[in-house]
Amino acid sequence: MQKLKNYIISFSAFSVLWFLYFPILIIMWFSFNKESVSSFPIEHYSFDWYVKLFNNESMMQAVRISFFIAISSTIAALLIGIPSAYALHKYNYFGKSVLLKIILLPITLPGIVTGVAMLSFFPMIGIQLSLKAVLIGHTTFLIAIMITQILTRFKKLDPYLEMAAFDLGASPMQAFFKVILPNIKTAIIGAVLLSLVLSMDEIPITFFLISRENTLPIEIYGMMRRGITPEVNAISTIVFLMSSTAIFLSLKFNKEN
Amino acid sequence: MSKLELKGINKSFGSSRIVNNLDLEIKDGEFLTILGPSGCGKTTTLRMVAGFETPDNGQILLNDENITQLPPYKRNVNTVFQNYALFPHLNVQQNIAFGLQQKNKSKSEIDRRVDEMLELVQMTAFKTRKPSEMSGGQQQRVAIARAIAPDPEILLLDEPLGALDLKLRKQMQFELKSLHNELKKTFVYVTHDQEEALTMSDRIAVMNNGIIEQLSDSQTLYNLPKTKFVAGFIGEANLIPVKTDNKSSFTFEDKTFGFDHESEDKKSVLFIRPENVSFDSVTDIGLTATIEDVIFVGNHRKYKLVTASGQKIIKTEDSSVALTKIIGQTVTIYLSPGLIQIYNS
Repeated sequence: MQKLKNYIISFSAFSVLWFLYFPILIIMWFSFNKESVSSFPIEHYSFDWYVKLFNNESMMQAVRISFFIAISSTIAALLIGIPSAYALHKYNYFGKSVLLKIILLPITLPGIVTGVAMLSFFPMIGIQLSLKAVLIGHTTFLIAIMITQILTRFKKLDPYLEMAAFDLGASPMQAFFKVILPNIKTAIIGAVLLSLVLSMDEIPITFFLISRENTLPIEIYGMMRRGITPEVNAISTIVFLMSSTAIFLSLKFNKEN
Repeated sequence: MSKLELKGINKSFGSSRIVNNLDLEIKDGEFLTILGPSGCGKTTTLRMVAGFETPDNGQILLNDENITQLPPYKRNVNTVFQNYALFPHLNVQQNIAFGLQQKNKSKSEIDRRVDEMLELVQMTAFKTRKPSEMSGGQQQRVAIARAIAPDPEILLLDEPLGALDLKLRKQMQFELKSLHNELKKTFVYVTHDQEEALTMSDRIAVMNNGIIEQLSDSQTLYNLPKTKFVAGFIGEANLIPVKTDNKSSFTFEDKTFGFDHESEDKKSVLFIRPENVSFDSVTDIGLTATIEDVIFVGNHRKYKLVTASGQKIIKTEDSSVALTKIIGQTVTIYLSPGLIQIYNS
């Protein structure tokens, strides 16, 4: 009876996973198809579409832009996120509990709402639709990721470590860099990897704020309107492998204590 | 000369007063223990000396210099924390070197001092271990070495043995005591464990509800506790309710005995240690009681006595003394005036 129950549970779990990942596996498979029509059976396998992809200048430009946006918004979020998380962890001040909830808002709000809001607000304060606007847009929701991830680690950190550092003559600044930072390092690396992936994948906010240049997801979206080419399969495969590696590492770093 | 002086220290958290107008003078080179139940304000007092808390008012003087407002990193005192608080990302050597680096000592001086400290706590073999690779007792030795390395004016110890098992705790008590003898430094030790306090300290300050109830050496504290609280907190004690109409006598079960005391209340409490209750007529203060039970407890035996009014009294005696009494027997027990105290109840 127990055995049967186990089988049913494991069958359901694998069915769900299959349902989630099968389409991705199909795409990956098709990316090696020599023909341009995605249909079975595949007669010839090749790397042609990958070669073509790397020769596609507008696609490569989109990759560069996406990397640029992802890296700069992650850095910006990091610079704002670490001190914010530290302050939220260490000090008690008026409105802190409200702040803690508001911080999560950019993650929970539909991207389309944030996108539309920024679209109408940014020109008002003189920021034109541009990569700069996209960068700010991404930074706003990445800050939320950073703060929540790093705050969780702060809460697990022994408060006596900082006291011990003070006790041994370290100023608050020295204590932060010599004791706190090394002990939240893995959480920061995890949050950075997660942020990079989220920024690389982001569509709704980017869609509203972008001008002429395209990020990778927008470029792929554009190509799709002309039908699914195996080139899209190839880039999707690459994005999938990179993202899942990053997420895997991110989880691993976050688990570490 | 006093090394550390606390003058009129008050500290409240919210509406509760944790430390209440506390005065304490600690001599140079002494091992002083602040002993008390949890919540008595002992840890808060230690934290104010370390600089983690600032008193609401009052002064803290270190070598006659006012340090009340100095942040912890500008005070020449170091703390051994209960949970060790070793830096997990640094190995033993780096942990001990931390305080020395903060003092901008030269590389060679740091290396020399770290080795000296490792030898002092017998942890040389663990030099390159990370804290997570060591047992609690080993971590505690490193924590002690780390706190001593920068050569502080005072070493503060916040229940440092609290997390260790009984056997290790006893061993570490001796080691801390000999460490103190060797270093001749001022140690301020905080604990709720009376045995720990009695074993190691030169003087003990018993704290309760934010005030020091008694400050004296172990023997005086044990034999002549000044207050009912101290009497009950340290060791085993008989606390017997008595009537006190004047300051030169007390009445128990209609018998009045001459005894000079300080209690101003009509109802007071008489204190005597179980081992000081005597069957021999060494004094004229004698109470009549019935032996309810005799229990053999290894090196001593314990008599459970009950008086006519139902007051229970415990007497202990060495097991080597021949047993001459039987259960149910009515006896007279004698209380030596030099070994009893009378407190306000």
